[in-house]
Amino acid sequence: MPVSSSAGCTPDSIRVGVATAEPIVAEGLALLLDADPFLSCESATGDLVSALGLLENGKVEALVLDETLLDMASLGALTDGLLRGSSARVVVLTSEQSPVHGVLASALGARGRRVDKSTGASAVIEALYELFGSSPGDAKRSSS
Amino acid sequence: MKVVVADDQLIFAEAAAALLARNGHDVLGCVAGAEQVIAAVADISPDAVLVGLDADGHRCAEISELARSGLGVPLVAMSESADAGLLARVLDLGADAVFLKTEGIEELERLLLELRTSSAGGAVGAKRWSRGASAAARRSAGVSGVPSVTAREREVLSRLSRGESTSRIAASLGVGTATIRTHVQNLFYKFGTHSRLELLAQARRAGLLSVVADPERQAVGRLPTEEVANLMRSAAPQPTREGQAGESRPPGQGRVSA
Repeated sequence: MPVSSSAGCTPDSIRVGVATAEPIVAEGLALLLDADPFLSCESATGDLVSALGLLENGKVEALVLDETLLDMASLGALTDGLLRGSSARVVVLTSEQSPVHGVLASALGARGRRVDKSTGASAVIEALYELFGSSPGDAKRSSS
Repeated sequence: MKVVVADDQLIFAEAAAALLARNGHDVLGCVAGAEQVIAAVADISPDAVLVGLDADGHRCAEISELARSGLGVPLVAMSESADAGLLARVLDLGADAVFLKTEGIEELERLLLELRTSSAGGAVGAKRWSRGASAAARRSAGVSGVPSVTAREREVLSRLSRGESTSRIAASLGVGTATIRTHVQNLFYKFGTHSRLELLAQARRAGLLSVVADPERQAVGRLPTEEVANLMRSAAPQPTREGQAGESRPPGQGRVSA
């Protein structure tokens, strides 16, 4: 999948990765996130291991992750990854049929948000804002 | 192209719309539900409507409603599920093309271009499968032995097996020759074959054609020698592990005559 880089982001932009098995969502959502001045989409992938690697190596500060990439085993890897990354945040895209909803909320804790796929990209952006404070710039300054 | 995207998963609709717009298409809107789509199509006359299906095939009713509405706009069903039976059902309900959501924007655009080209060439009613969807159908055929074919494709298969030419089939069914060629191409995809003779052999093995010796001879007589030779090889009994002649054909299925 193509990796986009933000042309209009500010120095305080949050670096985001997108992980989903649907290439159109990965590429299109990256495009939409990049259009926000406070977000910079650094990577899009269809592979969970690569996505967790993005968090671990600090290439991204937040991951937008499609729940269809997750199973019970990989949830553990996700929570471990979150624990290791001091400022990592995750937005999980979910649908009503998800079998992992119950454990997802507790696994993510305060570092994660669930966004239903029936909502639009604006809900993803809003969730990212919430995870990093009232404004992304404030959140980054306060965490540094 | 002017398109409308309708999907309950707004994230998918918006992502698709963003990419199509970036690539020069005119996205007239992202909507949900058949009524909204019908209203939108009536107002703005798009070149195609893209309708999302979830994993359980919800929205099939909307596909049917849209097809019956007489709007005359090509419908592309975008499916989460790769179930070949579901995809074939959606085409039967009136979708003009099926696409899997696990495929990329390039494949979606290729499908849209094909639809526009076939529509301009008068191939009304021809069904299109994205590469991923046709591969799913072939995989399904490998498991069940019987690919899902539409009623019209089955009719074309039957006429091909009787040795009818493309133009004769087209005239009999009241459609253009381009439409028949499209049906045949779709059947090639589904059966994973590259020639009509191979296709007939596979269809017969799958039980979609009854064994009739003489018409088959007529068909064989018009095909190149190499294809005949290939058919003979594919239809010949294959040695089993024990060294005996055996065939994977289900019991009761006849051998292709040549």
